[in-house]
Amino acid sequence: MAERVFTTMHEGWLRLLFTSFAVRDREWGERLYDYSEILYRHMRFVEELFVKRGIEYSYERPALTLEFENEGEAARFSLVGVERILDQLNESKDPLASRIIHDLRYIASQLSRNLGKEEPITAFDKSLKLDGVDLDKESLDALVLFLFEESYKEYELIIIYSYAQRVVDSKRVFEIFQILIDESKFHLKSFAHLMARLGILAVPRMVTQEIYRFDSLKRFLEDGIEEEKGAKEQCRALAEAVKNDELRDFFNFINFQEDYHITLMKEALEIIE
Amino acid sequence: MDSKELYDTTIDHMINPRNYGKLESPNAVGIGKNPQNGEMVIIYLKIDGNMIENIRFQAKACMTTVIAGSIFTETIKGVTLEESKELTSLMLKKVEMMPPEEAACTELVAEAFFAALDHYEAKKTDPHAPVPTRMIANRCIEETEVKNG
Repeated sequence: MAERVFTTMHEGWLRLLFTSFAVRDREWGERLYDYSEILYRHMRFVEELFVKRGIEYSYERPALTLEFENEGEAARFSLVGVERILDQLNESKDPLASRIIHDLRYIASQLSRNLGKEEPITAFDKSLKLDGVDLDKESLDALVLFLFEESYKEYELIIIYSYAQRVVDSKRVFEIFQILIDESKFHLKSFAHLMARLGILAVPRMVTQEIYRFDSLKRFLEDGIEEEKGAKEQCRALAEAVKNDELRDFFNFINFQEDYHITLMKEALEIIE
Repeated sequence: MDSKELYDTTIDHMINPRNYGKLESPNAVGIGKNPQNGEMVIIYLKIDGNMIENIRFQAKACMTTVIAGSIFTETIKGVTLEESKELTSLMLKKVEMMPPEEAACTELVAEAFFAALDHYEAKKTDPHAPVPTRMIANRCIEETEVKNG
């Protein structure tokens, strides 16, 4: 398998993931989300393989713009990502790729069945209304900035923890990173759904090597704890600022979840010290 | 540009930051850094003769910095070196009128660009000149307040 397949898998995962957030048919959206998780696990499987074989790989990737107007085009957008991976795996003739190829062929067949769907996509129409309701300007401004900041941040954390799992020796620290990956995936999903409802869904910018290949795990965890405290404060301030019950409860919920992340990161810090 | 257009433009830069990422074979690179919180911007330049042929940037920073980098690189691409210096100096003058947290973000981009120009000049005498880093003077007050809770 060539190095570029890792980047293609990364892009394929994001194509499916963000299509899952964009579509309005939520049952189909959840299936797409599950498929995106399969692609994420493929990527991690290949990462493990590359580490064992001493092959260089990178989490950097090209920018990805969401450009589709209906559910059929959205399925096409995802299908393109899956077919690119299939082409590269078929080229490689690596026996370890066969299980992945079976998964991808099935997912491609499911996507192909949805190419004719004509339901419109409103996830990036910039309506800035929450389910058709206007928010007051102050709440809206704070919310929009928060969602762009934090959706990137959660994606960044998924990448950093994924990479970090390959460089830590402790089993418990590995587990902690896995919990934090799962938590960040949940946060990213929650934020992205809100962005889709506001018509501002976007794939976060790429995370560069300079960011995810940290020099010191201790420093990374210490900074991470401070960032979680900052995120807590932002959520608390937003919960106070928004004049919308659903949003207030949601930001309070995220605020208290950060406590759990801080506890886990402190535990990881103690183990490595 | 009215406030609605400005809002739409800002959101557009958040959704799709222009010129984000690395540049293949740049002939100058510069780093702008905020010593207060470690935020930084890296600018990559491809200079052809007297022209900024291509420019890209990366940011380990907040969304306001990404917006600033996106608008800045879009403006600078294709102008002459002299024009680019004038535009950047003009931008730094405007920084004085901005709220501190926005000033720090804009300055980060401008200083990264000036560092890249320093690198371009240094490479004329030393092809292996190290990538320079310029520190910003403005403090990102908002960040400090958030961290102190």
